[in-house]
Amino acid sequence: MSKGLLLLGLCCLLAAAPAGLATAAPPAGTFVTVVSENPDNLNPYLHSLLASHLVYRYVFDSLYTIDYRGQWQPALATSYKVSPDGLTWTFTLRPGVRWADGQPFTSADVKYTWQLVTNRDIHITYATGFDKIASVDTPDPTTVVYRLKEPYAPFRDQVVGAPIVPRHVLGALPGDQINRAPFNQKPVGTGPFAVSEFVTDDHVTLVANPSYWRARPRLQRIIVRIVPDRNTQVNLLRAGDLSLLAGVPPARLDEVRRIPSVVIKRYLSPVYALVQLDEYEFLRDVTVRQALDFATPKASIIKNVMRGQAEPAVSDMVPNGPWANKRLAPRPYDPARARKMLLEDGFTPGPGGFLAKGGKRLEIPLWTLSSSPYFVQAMQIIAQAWRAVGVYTETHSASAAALFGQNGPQWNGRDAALIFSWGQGVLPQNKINWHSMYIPKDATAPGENAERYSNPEMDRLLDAVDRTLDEARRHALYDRIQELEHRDVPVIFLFWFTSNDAVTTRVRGYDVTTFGTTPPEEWSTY
Amino acid sequence: MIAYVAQRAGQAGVLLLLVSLVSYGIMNAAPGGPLAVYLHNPQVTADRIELLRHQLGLDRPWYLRYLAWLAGILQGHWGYSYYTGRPVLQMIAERVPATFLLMLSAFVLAIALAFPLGVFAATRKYSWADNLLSFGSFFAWAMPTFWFGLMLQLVLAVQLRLLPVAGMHEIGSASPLDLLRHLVMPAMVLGLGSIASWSRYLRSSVLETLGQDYVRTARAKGLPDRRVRRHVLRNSMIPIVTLMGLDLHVLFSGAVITESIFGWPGMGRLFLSALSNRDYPLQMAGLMISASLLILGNLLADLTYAALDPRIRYR
Amino acid sequence: MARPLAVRDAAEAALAAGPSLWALAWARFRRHRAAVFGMAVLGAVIASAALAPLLTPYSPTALDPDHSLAPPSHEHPLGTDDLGRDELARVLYGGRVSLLVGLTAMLLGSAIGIALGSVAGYMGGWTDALVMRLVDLVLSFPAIFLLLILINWTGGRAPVVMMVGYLGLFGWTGLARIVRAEYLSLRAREFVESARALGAGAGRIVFRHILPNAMAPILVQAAFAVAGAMLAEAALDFLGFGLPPEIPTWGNLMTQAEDYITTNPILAIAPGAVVTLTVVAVFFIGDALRDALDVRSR
Repeated sequence: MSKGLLLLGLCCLLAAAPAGLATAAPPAGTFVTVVSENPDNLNPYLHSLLASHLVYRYVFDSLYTIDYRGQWQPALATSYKVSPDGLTWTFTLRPGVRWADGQPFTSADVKYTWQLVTNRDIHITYATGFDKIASVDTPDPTTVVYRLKEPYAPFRDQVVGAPIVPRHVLGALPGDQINRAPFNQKPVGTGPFAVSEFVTDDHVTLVANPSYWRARPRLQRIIVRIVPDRNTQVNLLRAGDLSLLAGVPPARLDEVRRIPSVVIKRYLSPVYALVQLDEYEFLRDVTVRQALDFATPKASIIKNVMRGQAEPAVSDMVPNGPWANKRLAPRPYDPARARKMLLEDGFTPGPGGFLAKGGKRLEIPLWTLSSSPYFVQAMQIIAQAWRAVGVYTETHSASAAALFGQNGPQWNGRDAALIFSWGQGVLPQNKINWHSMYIPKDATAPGENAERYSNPEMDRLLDAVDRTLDEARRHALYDRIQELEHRDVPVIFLFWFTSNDAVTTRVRGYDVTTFGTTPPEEWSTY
Repeated sequence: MIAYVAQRAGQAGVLLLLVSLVSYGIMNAAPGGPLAVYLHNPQVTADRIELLRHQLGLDRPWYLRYLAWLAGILQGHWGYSYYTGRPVLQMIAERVPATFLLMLSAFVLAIALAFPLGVFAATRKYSWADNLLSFGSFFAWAMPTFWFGLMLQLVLAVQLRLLPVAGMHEIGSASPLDLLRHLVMPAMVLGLGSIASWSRYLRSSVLETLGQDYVRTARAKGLPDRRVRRHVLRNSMIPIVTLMGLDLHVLFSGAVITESIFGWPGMGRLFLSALSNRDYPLQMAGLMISASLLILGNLLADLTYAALDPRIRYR
Repeated sequence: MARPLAVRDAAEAALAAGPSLWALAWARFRRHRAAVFGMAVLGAVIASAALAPLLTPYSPTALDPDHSLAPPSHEHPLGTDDLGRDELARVLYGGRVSLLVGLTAMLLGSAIGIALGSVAGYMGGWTDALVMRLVDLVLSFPAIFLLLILINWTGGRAPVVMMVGYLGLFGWTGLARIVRAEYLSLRAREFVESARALGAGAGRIVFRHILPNAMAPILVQAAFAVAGAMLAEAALDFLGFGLPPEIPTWGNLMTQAEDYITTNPILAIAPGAVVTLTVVAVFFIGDALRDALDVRSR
């Protein structure tokens, strides 16, 4: 037994000994970053996790793309024109582009992407906008003509900005096999990097595509490590293992700021936190919802839970983007006013000081995701504040599946308030959130408008904005949509997340804004 | 003996069938469901979810799906993951080496330390050292795994730079030494709990055995101490063997918190994501393999009892 | 929580069962130094949870977010947590749920485990096979889903009773196997044979003759089960199957401290230390019980 011990001790010593010699820092030309979850599927149309997007973004291009300044830039297409009736969109493709495996990129690939997305045998998760396409013509290898079923303004955002996948790899496979294709782990794209190795729950290695059409990447490779624990991620950064840690947890920001070899890039993330108000009983009353907005101490949450790493929110359009309605201001925290509104609305204090109307207590349970410590903390602050104005509030934290899945709290037919994060990115399309046609039919039916908000004016505006191609007119419509969001409080907008990306000083050319990062082919490390 | 094992194998078959049926049933009755993941994604719209429900066969009653699953298993088809589209058996198989390496290291570490510590504590009953070991053991059991994991990381990896923070390999390295360096901390954290519990059980059993008549008799007869000790240890092993039998399946199913803290690509993380995504095919495969190993572990423990103590016979 | 000590209950109940052996055991137990320490600590921990309002002026749930994460000070001996609650108050009140869950789940699990394990081990044959296959079944199937379904029926939350029930009803399997193994070994010993020869009934043999000899692993298991149940309670909270996050328990205090182990280490260590003390106390008491029941030693 003691011999075994000795051996063991020796092993430990051996394992620890060469520590001083080997440093973990990535070599020049290698860029190491980390994601929290294992990417589920690297086919852009089959994935559901953000982690997958964070990997396939290096692999695929779209016809046009939004750069990190928020401007649309030509990518696989060089120009396009739209017919006056808005029904025909003609794109001229960039000549000489090749897939990472050397095959030429042509208009057939663009057409195939549409066919893939609309194939009902494939487990497609993203198809928004593609369903508006009547046909796609490819008169020659560098011309693509989309014919739409009806004028559809979001077409550019939804389809023109969507990744193009290769026909020569997938085109011959039946739909069922595409669901199981090796492509989903090792995709082939036209982008600056290509996946060379994917070890699940460990790392993905991407190597530079030397013949990338825009510019030869300066990095040789990008390694995306997969490490679930957020504190371990910070420790990896502190040990020098990472080039980039995107989204430092606010609780450890001060500590990261003190690392001399790290620079923090701060930007507003196009993701907001909200309290969804499921309208079943009292929550159908707009006065109640407005009063709850007044009763929610958003500033305290931003200061004490997010440690200042958040901005006030007033609508679902990111404040520094082009679509935000700048005239709106968040309701201040005013519990006295909230209580007064509820009393004037016919509520009277009952047992325990809780308000009641018609013999029924104003009872709104709060729910959130147990996996997010920020939401769990915010929930407790909100609960205390709501109780203070006389709302009976219990708190629940649950896993995502239990919270959003069938038979979850959204479907029990009673008032409920759910805290989580959402966001359509920097683009304005928010129809699925507020249009009454997206109210789920029953407990097992899906639907984004789970708050069950219904307003005929909102429905009309959302329908109109889809048909409106004129930019100025669209802005006016979206301004009014945001006014209604603010007035009717279908959800309480809590805050926009501020992201802090920690980048080591060995990295050059990396920058990030609300709209995205600088192109990865411009990044380098030394 | 052979007849006994055959009898147990027969029972195992019935049991596994029962486990699969009950598990499939309650999994489907639980709130959540495989489409919940998509419901929380702003990009995935309701019509897609409706179509996915149909494509994945989730619009059929659960017992029909169970029968289809069972028919598949009997023909050796374990199905495909709802999320990655990959064969579940392949997803499981690729985790086995990393999981087994980590779990076995922790197991060996625990055995190597628990036995000497347990016997030592028993021979110095109620001494300061024994009491200190008691405190240490229960502290190890009381503090959460993440605490030990992150503390070790901070001290050994971030401050002293002795060991890598997380992962299984340095970038591009395949050397066994590199692997060993990555293994040290997770194996230590994982072994800690077993060291704590096994050493306490052993201490207690050794104390109990030392008081038995035959040990006194042996001592009185002047049997050499070493032989007495071997007898005592042998007779004190039964609770430990029970615990080890119960833990055998963990060698396969991994340890999710340690794996998450140390970025170790083990089975625990795979099964946790299967659980939180309600990825039924993957969940069922993991469940069936774990259950088989659990049954096997308990059988092995039962056989070991008989070897340790000849008085134990199974009728 | 003002109940008398759980373990003492067991000892006294045992005492009633057989005066000569058990009375002797009780006398021995009281002489045991570590046991006295264990009783004192457990008593103090239970009293401080029960009398928490007398020991701290702070509420364990009232938030004061503007004074969060304060370091230990005269005003807040253990500092404040991430929402500005006094950590000492959280630890004191946290004992209420944790002790209740830890001790009752342990007692329930031990009762089932001992009963089934001893019957299986003593009887052997088909009884043994049946009970052991039940163990395999309970260990193999994903019990957490059952809890999820139950909780959904009750409207989204497990009350403490349900959690104790869950932890107890699914926490007896290991002990049952341990006890059974002891019985398998003990039932063939001379003293059992002689008791049988003297015409003792099965029940008498199982509980009066064999059980005292099988107590060693049972008592160790009891200590680990207390800690296990306390931590499992926190895991259930985290998964959303447990108590609301504002109700403090020792387990969820530790879980919530993960982000602050470097900046406010006391937030994790304080509850961890209390859990350790409690479990060590249970272990010492168990140790003394084992010594006391061991008629041959000393």
